[in-house]
Amino acid sequence: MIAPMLLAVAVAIDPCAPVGPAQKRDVAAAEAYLDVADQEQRGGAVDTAAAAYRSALRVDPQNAKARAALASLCRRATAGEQFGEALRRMESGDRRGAITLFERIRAAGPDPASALLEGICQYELQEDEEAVPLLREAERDPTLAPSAQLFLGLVSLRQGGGEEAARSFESAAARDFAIAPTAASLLRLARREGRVVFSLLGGPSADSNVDLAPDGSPTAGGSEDAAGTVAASFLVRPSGESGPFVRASGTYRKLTRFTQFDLGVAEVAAGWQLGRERRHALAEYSYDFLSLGGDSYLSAHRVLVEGRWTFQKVSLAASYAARFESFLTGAAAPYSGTRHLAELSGEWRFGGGSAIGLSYGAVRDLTDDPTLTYVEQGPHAYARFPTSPTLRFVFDASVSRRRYDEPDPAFAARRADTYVDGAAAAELDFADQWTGRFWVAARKSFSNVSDFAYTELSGGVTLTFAIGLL
Amino acid sequence: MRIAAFLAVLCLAFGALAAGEDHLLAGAQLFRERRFQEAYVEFTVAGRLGAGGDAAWYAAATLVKLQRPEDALEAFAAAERAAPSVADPLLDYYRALACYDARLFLCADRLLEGVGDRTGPRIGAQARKMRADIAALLVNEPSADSIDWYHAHGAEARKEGRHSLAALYFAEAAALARRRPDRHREAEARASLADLRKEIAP
Repeated sequence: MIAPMLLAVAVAIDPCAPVGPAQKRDVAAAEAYLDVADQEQRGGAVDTAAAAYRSALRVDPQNAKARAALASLCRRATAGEQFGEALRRMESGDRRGAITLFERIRAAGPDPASALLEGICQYELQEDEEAVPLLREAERDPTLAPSAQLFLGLVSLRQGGGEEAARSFESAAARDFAIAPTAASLLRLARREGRVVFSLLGGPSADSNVDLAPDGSPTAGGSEDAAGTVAASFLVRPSGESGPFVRASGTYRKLTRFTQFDLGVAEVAAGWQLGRERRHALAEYSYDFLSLGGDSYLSAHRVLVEGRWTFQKVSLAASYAARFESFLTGAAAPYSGTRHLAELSGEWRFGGGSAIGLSYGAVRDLTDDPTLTYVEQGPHAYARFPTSPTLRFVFDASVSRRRYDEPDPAFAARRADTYVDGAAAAELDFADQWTGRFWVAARKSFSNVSDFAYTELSGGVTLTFAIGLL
Repeated sequence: MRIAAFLAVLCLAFGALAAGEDHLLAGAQLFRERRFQEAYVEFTVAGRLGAGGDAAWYAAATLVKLQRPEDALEAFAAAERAAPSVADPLLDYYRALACYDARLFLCADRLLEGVGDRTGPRIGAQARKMRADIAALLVNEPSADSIDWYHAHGAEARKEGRHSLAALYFAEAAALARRRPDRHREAEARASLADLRKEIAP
């Protein structure tokens, strides 16, 4: 537009500036000014209204209406400036600074918009107790209710209240079509979360090398096989995500040909997580029991400690576990011992659940038979990308090198292996509690002992049902 | 600026200020100082206190300076109804600016055509530049979407009771429709215009 370029921008009127009286009082003019001021204010022209109120007060300093209206405009202007500054601080990540200003605005009178944004700041600072009353206050304003409910749902979800969160997300989605897609995604999550979570999984898979025979395998007819897997798990965390938890799970994989490798796993665990997913410390004890081919195979106790710290988009984690393994068959008994596992990881989190990450892991397996003791270490990279609220892709790649401590007399060599792994999966949420997963994986094992060099390709489809019960 | 100079001369010539004319003069002074909000208030108050039809024209021109083109167009229409004799090329220039800012390009062009050099060389040059810009904007056949835009704004203004503004949007829609072979919604625009003119008529 030409006109704005040709014309100087009018200087804003400051409704808070003092008004000097005119030389003589003019009540009639004051009334005319007030008429103009009221008309301009009704039309939303606050600057012009302020100018008219100031003129009314100038010619009639006793005019209470002009004085009150000007004071009101002054308050609004001050609040507007503070609101703008608070928003700027919030967007720059200075949530504490923003909260201070929002509180100042709200101290002058109810302000649902400030309550909402202050509540969001508190939520982002993980101060849920402070956030909830603010979000409830904002919820009373019909125009802000959907946004407030969305964040109330997030608070409930974080506290493990899956059902309550689901109700909030449903309500938000129903009221505002613009936030409905986000609310629907969260609703799916909420229905799978809770203080008690039960999940079931099942599906077929295929493996090109079930017994991990070396390439050029001596196994007649190869060792590829198909399998069916079922699994169930039960998680109880009375305080939600942060607090104590117990978990029990069971898995059974049935092969069609090599039934000696049918695998059953039962696990029970108990632990305590301090903090939410983004920043937490966790300690856990678990007990695993494995059966292989229908026979008892392994009994293992494990202790795990883990920490995660996330700042904005960067998430760093470290974990350490010690697993005390007792193999229960004669052939596997020498593998018994203590296995130490440690990992450091860094992750860059994009919006919408996308992330790329890099980790470095190390394993030290101290077996009863010193010839089986080894160190394994290597990097691992991964990425996950949702392409829609219901479809996600996950990619993994890793390289690890294993070195045994001592020569193995059976092979007259000190074994050294390198494993290259790759995997990809697509996950599709069919419904709030149902997810389908298609996956493929490959491993190439290189070894200085040819019996341990092999290739394995596997893939499968699983269907998972997960429900938050409380 | 010329408004302010004109008013100052007027007041000096008469040597006394009639009812509301002190506000008219104060408005002119504020306008000169580019204090447009206050100038608008003074011109409007001057009109209410009986300063005559001029005040409404100057208030409308000040709304252009305040970048409120739709309000200005409504105000110009009201001023024209109240005091048609006051109109002059300079006020037409301001009115054309309001049309331009409201995307009423044909309206602006029509007014600028009458401005010519009658307002002095500087504004004359600006008017010619604006007409050239408008000609460039309208060189292509208007799209159906753009005509729909004028219909939508006309309907919205009518709903808000801003009939003069609505009439301008429908007039623009009709004029643009005539630049298309299919005369997209021309009859509808003319019908709306006819209805509005009945409503606007005193």
